[in-house]
Amino acid sequence: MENDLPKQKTFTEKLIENSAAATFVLDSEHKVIFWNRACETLTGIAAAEMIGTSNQWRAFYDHERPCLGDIVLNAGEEGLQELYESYAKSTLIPDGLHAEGWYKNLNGRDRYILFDAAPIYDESGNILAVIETLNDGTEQKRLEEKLRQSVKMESIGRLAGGVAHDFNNKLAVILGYAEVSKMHTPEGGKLWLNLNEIIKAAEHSRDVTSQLLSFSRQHVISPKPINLNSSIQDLQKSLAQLVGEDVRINYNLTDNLLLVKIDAAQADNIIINLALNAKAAMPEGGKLQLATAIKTVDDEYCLQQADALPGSYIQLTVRDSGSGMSRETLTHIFEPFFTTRDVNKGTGLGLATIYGIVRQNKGFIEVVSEVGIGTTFKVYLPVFHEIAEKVTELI
Amino acid sequence: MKKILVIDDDLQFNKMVCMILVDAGYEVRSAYDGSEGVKMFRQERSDLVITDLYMPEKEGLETIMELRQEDSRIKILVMSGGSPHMNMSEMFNMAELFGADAALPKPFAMGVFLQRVKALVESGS
Repeated sequence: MENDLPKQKTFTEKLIENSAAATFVLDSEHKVIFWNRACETLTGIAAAEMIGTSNQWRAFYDHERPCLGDIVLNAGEEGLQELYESYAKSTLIPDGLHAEGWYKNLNGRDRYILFDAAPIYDESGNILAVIETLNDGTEQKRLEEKLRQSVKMESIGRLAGGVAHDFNNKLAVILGYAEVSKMHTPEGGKLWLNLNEIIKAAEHSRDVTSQLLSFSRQHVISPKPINLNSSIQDLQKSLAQLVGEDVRINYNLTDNLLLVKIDAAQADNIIINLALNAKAAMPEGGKLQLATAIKTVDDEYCLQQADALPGSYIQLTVRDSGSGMSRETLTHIFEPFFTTRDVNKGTGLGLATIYGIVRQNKGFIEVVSEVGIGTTFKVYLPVFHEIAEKVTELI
Repeated sequence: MKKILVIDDDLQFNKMVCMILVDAGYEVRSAYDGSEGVKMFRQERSDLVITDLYMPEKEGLETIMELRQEDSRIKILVMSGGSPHMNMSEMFNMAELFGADAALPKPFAMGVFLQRVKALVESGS
């Protein structure tokens, strides 16, 4: 039996080394004694760099802090709430812990990692070591988020549509009575002027509900095949005035752009609202880039991007060099009335309107943002095939 | 005098539309749901029916269909402020498929509304 011990040890080491689950082991002094191959692949850090050190945190964090295994070794759950997005006691191993969260740039990719750490006791019940496994839950998390996001936007859309319906009925009553009363009142008198104010306020509210209807994709529209380059070119003068002289606009419009089928006013709405959003992100001025391109979206891309379906699209890119947004902010930007601007500096309906318009036209929006660097909105609208085919035939 | 029947479950809106139409010189009757509206139309024909689309009891689309069955020449104007369940463009398209002659989203400017009513009433005579 004693002769078998070295064999058993080697076998156990091989078990850990060859496990498909990324695994590392810490001794009671918090030093790394195992860092298996899957762990090397997942973190991009070689075992040789880790063994014998207490640098396990370097694999996941940009500053020194305990890993889940360290917390288990300390036999406490202190600080877990601050350290992890989500955590719980392990349901499988006594005294084990489970935690999960997003980690930036883990071997070149942002990943959602599920950590499980469990203590290894000696016969007297003292902790000898701790074993921690890491599972890459990125794809599943993205799919869950994608589903949750669409369900949320759908429910908000239904709510917005319902509110707009009731509100429109009442606005019609306010506007109708005010207009009739105005007709029966001497022009220019105090009452006439007051009625005029009521009408103006009601018309403003009508515009707000109109935006809500755009978000819930209920707007009455007349889509026609249009070239987005022409829409942008027609708006150039207005855009320059809208963003002001502190913002430099650069246009990069692809030649021979294919057509999209969209209501021209909706296309203008997308461009103007994105430009206004960019302006708000650059109060001190900056650079705004508008670009168009033809893009093919494949199945792999669709997995990453909420609402995307494979096909040919016209991509409208609006990039600013503004303040950027956090991941948390990004998850809310298309919700109606969500705004990071000061009160009275925006209705919070601009991006919600764009979202509604783009979805109504069977497109989707990709947003990339980094705090302090800027934000890029990529609006994808399906290529209008009937015309695209005719153009191809002509060529 | 041209006769108009207004069908809308929103009491205030219904009353307001009737007032505008009476002021414009039409003979107006009103109903607060589709069933009542169809019943009133059977009792006495109108030149134009103005109906809401999203109503309890009997939906606007069903109302349009029944009115159209009653009288193929009747002019029908649908009005809606939207619905939580359906896209407004699709709703108006469907209303036209079911037999509506025109559609107007709520709220509207009175001038536009009266113009639309006049055009429909005159096209029917």
